[in-house]
Amino acid sequence: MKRFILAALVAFAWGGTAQAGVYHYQKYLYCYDCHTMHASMSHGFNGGTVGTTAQLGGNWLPNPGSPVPALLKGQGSDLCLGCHNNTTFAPDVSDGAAGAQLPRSAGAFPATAGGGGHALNGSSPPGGAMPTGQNTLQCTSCHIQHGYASYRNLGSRSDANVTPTMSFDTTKNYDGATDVILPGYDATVGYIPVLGGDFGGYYKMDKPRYQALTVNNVTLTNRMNNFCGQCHGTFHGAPGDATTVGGEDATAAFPGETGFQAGAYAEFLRHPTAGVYIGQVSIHGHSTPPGVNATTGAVNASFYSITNRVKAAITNGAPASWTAGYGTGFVVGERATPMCISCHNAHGSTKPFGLRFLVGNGTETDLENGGGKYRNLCGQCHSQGAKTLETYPAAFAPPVPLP
Amino acid sequence: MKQRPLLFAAVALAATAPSAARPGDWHQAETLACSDCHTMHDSSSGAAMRYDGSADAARFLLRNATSVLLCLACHDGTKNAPNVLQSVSGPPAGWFTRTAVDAIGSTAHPLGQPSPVSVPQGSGAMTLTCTSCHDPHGSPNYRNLREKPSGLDGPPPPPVRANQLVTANGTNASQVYVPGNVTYVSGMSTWCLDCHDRYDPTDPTQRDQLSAHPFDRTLSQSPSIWATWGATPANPRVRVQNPAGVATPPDAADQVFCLSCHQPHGNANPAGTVYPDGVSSTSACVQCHAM
Repeated sequence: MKRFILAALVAFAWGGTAQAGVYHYQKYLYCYDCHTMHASMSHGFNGGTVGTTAQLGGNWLPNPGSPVPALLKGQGSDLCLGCHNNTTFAPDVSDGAAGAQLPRSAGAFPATAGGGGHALNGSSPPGGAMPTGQNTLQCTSCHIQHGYASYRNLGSRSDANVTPTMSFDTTKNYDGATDVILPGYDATVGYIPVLGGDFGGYYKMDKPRYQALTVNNVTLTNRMNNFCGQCHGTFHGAPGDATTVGGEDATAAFPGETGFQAGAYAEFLRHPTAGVYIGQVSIHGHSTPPGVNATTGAVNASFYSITNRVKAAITNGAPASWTAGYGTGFVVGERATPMCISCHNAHGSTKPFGLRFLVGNGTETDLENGGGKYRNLCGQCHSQGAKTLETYPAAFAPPVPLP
Repeated sequence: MKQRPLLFAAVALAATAPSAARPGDWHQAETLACSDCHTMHDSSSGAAMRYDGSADAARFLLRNATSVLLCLACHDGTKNAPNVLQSVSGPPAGWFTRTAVDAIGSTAHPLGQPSPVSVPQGSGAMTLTCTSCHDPHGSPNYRNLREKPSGLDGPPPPPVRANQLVTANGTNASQVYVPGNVTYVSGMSTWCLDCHDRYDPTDPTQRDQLSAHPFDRTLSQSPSIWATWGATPANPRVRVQNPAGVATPPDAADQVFCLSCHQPHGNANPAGTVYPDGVSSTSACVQCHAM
C-alpha cells in the first residue's frame, strides 16, 4: 500500500511526458532534490516524514545533517550517488544490482578489484588535463547538474569549449544530423524517476544510437568524442593529426596494395576515435567489411555481422560492395566508425580502463562488462590472430592442429 | 578386458610422444595478447607505453619505434622469451648480431634496412623485418612463420611442420628453443624458396637445381651418403628433416634441408652457415660426404 501511495506521489510530482531534455532539466529540475535551505528538516514537503537516505520528492536529509557548502545535501559526487547508487528510482551508476537497467550504456563506476573507469575525485586525466576551474573529477564535471539542452545533460566545463551540446531525438530512427537517436523511446515512462528503474530502457546499452557527423571539422565523429576530448585531448583528433592520433593515407602506408576505400588511413599513432570507417582498411587484418568470403562463401565475421557488438557511430553511405553480411542492428548500406565509448564505458566497468571485453558472438551473459578478454574487444573489428576461436564461425577458427 | 593393456600402452605412448608443434606456440590463439605489442593511446594513466621509455607514439600503435625493436624488446635476452641475439643455448634458428640487425650483415638475414635488399638466389628485393618471416598475429605454421613470406601472388608453400618435446608456456624458453627439442618434419625448405625462388627446381627458367645443393633429399637414397651420415658422431650433428617425425638420427627418413647448413637468424659465420666444429663449414659437409 505504501508503495502504491509513493508511486502515486511520484506520478503526481513528475507527471507528464518528458520533452527534449532529461531529468534535472527545466521542469524536471527540482531544487530540493539536492539543496536544503537550512540544513534542517523536521517534516517533508507534504507533511510526511523525512528520511536520512535519498528518496523521491526531496523528503530527505543526510544524517548527520550538518551544513554543506552551496546548501547541498551532500559533499560532491556523494550527493549524486545518494540517489544514483543502488536505489529503485534513479539510474544506477555503481557496481551492484541495477535491476531492469542492465546493461547500462555508460556502465558503472568500479567497486571491484580490477575494474576501471573514471576515477571520482581524481585530478589527472590521461592524455590531457582537467578543464579550467575543475580541480577534481566529479559527476558534475561531465553532467550539468542544473540541466542542459544536451543528451544526458552532458556539457563541458571548459572555458575553451562550453557548448559541445549533444543533440538527441526520441522520435526518429535516423536523420544523419542528430548526435543521438533513441529509437523506440517510451514516452509514457519517460526519463523521469520511476520505481523499478526501467526508464523505458533509456539508460540501457542498446537504446542510444550514435550517429557519425561532421563536428568541428572532423568528419565521421560524434560530439561524444569531442566531449571526451575536452579532458583527454591527446587521444582524440582527426586522422592525420600528428599531435593526436596521427595516421596517413593508407595508400602511402601500404605502397603497392590496393582495395582501400577512399580516404582510408593507416599507421596511426594512437587508435582513431573518429574519421575512419570500420572495414575501410580491410587488408593486413585491420578490419573486415561486411560481405561474403569469395572463396568459402561464408559471411565475413565482421563488426557488422557479430551479435554482441560494442557501440559505434553509424552513418549511411556504405560502398556498393557492402551488400551482404549485416547482422541485427545494422541496415544494409550503413557503416560504422569507432568512438571513445566503443571500447570504454563512460562511467567504468569491471575491466581495466572501463573497457568492455565482449566476445562478439555466442552467449554473453554480461553485456555491460563482457566476459571475454582484451583481445576479444580488439577482435570486434580487427581480424588478426585467432583470438575469437571460442565463438566465431568455423571459417575463423584456429587452424586444425597438426597430426 | 583384453584390450586394456593395449589401451594403457596407447596412453603411455601418447604421453611420451613428442607433441606436434602448435601453429606457433606464442603470439597465437590464447597467447596472442594485443597489448603485448600495441598500445591504444600510448598512455597508461598518463605514462608512456613504449618499451624503450620514449613518450613518442609509434606507428601502428606499436610499443616501440619499429617492429624490429619491438620484437627485440622481449627477444633480446632480458626477458623470459627466446633470445634471438645471443647464442647461449644454441637456438635452432641461430642468432642475430647487433650488426645484422642494425645494418646489412653477411651472417644473417639483414633486418630493418632503409631500402630493399636483393634476395640471394631470389628474384626480388625485400626490406626484411622480423615480421617478414614471422606473423606477429599467429599463423598455421611452426613458429608462426608466415604463410606466404614473399608477399607475392600465387599459392602459399605447404605448411611448415615440426614436432617439439616441450611446448612453450611463457616460462620455459630455455627448454623449448633448443635444437634437441625440435624435429623438423616437412615444409621448411619450400618455405625458404618462397623468397629464394631461384632455387626452385620446378621452374625451368631459373637456376638449374643440379648446380646447387639439393634439399629435401632423403639421405638413405644414396648408399655412400647414408653410410657417412650413419657414422657421423652424435654430437654435433647438423639438423635434418624427418617426414616420419623420428627425432634421433640417423634414421632412414632423414632428409637434408635448408637448415642443415644454414641458421635463418644467423650466426658468426657467412650466410649463417653451420660450422659444427666451430671452425669451418667443411665439418658440416663431411657429415654426409666422405672426403
